[in-house]
Amino acid sequence: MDTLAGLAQAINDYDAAAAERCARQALEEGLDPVEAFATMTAAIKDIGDGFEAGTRWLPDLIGAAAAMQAASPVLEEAIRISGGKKAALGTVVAGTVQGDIHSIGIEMVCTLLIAAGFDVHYLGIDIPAEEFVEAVRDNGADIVALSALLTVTAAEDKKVIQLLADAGLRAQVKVMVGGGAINADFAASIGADGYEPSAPGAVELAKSFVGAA
Amino acid sequence: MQHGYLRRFAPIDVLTERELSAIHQGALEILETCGANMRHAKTQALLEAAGCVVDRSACQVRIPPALAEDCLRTVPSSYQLVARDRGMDVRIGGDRVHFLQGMGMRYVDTETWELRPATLREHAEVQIVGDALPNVHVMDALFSFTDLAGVPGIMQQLEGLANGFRYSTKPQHYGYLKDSDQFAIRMAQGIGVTLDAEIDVAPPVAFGDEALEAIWRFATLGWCVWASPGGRAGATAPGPLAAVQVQSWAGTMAFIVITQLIKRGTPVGLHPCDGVVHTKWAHGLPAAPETWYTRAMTNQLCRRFGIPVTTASGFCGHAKMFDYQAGMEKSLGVLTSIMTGSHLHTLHGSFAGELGYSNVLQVLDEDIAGNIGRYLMGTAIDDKSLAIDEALEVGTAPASFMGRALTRELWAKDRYEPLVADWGSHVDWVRGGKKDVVTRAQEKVTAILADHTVAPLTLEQHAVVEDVLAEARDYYRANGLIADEEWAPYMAALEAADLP
Ligand code: B12
Repeated sequence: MDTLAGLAQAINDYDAAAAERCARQALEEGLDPVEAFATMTAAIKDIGDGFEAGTRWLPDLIGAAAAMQAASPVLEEAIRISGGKKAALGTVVAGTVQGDIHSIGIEMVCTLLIAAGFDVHYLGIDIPAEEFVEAVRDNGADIVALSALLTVTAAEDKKVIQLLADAGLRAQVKVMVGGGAINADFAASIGADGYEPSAPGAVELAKSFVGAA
Repeated sequence: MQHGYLRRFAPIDVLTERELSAIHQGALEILETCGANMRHAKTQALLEAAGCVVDRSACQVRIPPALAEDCLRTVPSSYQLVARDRGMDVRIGGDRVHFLQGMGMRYVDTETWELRPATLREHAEVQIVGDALPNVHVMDALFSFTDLAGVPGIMQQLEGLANGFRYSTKPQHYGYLKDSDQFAIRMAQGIGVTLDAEIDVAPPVAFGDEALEAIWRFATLGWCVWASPGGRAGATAPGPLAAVQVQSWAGTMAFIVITQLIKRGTPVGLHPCDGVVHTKWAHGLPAAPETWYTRAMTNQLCRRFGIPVTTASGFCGHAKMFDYQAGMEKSLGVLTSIMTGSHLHTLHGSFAGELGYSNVLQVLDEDIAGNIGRYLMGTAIDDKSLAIDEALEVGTAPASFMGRALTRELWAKDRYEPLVADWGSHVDWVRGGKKDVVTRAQEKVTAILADHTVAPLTLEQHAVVEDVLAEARDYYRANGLIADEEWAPYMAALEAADLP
């Protein structure tokens, strides 16, 4: 099996160590890191398609995403040095807003976004609005994905939007919101660019933001 | 006192003594080696003074097994909740079985089966119906509809509790969120009742600052706090069911250590909401058999260590309508939990993975509670109930027991008569217009709301509720949790509430 096939296989086997090893080997063999990255994206997309079709399950996706994330820094560093650009549908900064510790939904959203080919920076739970803004700036994000499960923390979504505007970043980034406390009316009222009640819907929304729908 | 039901038989054990010990030892090892995560300085200091090892930079607190086991010993095996009508008090624990109102976020529209925020009046009506149903022993005014139209997020719990006090004389339950429990406590004290509070252990084994503040407030008063360690297999706990149990038990013991160090003898209830998650959608599955089995293990652990279980096992599944699936999920969940030894059971009205609540369902669920309760009561075995003389007197077929005095006496007293389930004949049902059970429950809700009266709060109690609400509104306005633009719609919602 050649190295890139091995890399794809590692993603398929949810084998983080093998994925990282294959990524390093690919670089040693002088292979193009952008192509190696695309190989991983294609492999995980297959698993994502299986998930959609009901033949794969969330743990499969999470396993594949973890394997991909183990190999990503190796390839990303090489891409950066070579001045190239990895093919990603877009860059997403995601997290659960301040005061809210619900993590399961947003982690699922992140997993599906990774599987769909987005470059995802997951910040975690209980994240202050300022941190979202910083992460958008630092990563040149195209999309920020905010999760709020409590009615009382939903107001944090609005704060993030306000701070993005104050920082002059609002025009460059689409804001999507979700979580049990949110509905379409609320999203519209705070000036979010989109709302979706489910993780697969979040992916479609994100794709529409970057013109990939 | 509402005594609930006395379970006449021993609960079922699902673990051997050695298996139980393995789970307990595993949890002790996690607490000693990895510890519990918290950044709350006052709690860290309390635990450190008792011999825990505190790593402040990592916010980890390692708890010695001897301390954990010592604290387990001082948790009372039952606790009492004081109601506004003392005849409605409950004592949770032992072989007593009680039911608690369920929780849900939005109003279930039974025409469209969609969910929308509830109005304050709809919330009040839920309390009146809960007050009327004999098998709702404890109210959950805070969590029945956590999305109230027009009410700012931070005031929903307190407006809910206020409605609970206004429209029911039964005991009330609370939670915590951004200090709101301090107002809830003041309301309760002013009315002269106690509350128990459900406080999450953020799984795996972590405690947020707000949760710890609430634990301090309730434990200092010696009021019962429920540990709610909600580890979900493969998401917030390892995949195997036994491991979920180890995680939950570790979280529970850490919780118990904190409460007992704040005040020895503070009652603690275990409110497990752990279990498995859907492998596609990642939401918890309270109605899955694996979750029920997890609960069975929890119940046995708690029995072993004398901790009351206030479980959320059968309270809702993922049915989309009040149909076969809904009834199956609820009744099997709550029954399997009761059979393995739990005490207080979240049940009435909860729907759609906690995202929905319904007064109609609250009435339907009354039959689940009533049927199970009757089953638990079993039968006495004595001369009268064995009725040997009666059998000898009547003899063999074609003789019958239909007209006998003993039969008459028992038919009236010894049977559970469902509130809405239709046990009549099929012919009568056809002749009666083929009414379905949801329609019957809707009619029952209407009848209860027309007939049931709740003893009102005294003028002093009423003043306490209003004063505390007013103070909370000022407090949250001042600290920005009620935004300026929320204020006018809030006042309008209160004005238009048209409370009963
Ligand atoms: C599990 C859970 C917990 C766990 C969380 C563990 C964890 N690590 O996540 C624990 C036990 C810690 C917890 C704590 C609390 N909880 Co809670 N919790 C839940 C519960 C039961 C399930 C949430 C969940 O995981 N769902 C499964 C996931 C997959 O769904 P999801 O998060 O909604 O995400 C999906 C979509 O919404 C969407 N999505 C999510 N994020 C995003 C983001 C974007 C951008 C997009 C597009 C889409 C999207 O995609 C996801 C997948 O399809 C809900 C009830 C419910 N059914 O939602 C209550 C619930 C959210 N909790 C609630 C409450 C009140 C609390 C507490 C305050 C309890 C208390 N004792 O007082 C504390 C709050 C602590 C805090 N400060 O955050 C209430 C909120 C009510 C309200 N109106 O505010 C709920 C609704 C329960 C209820 N009916 O009362 N909780």
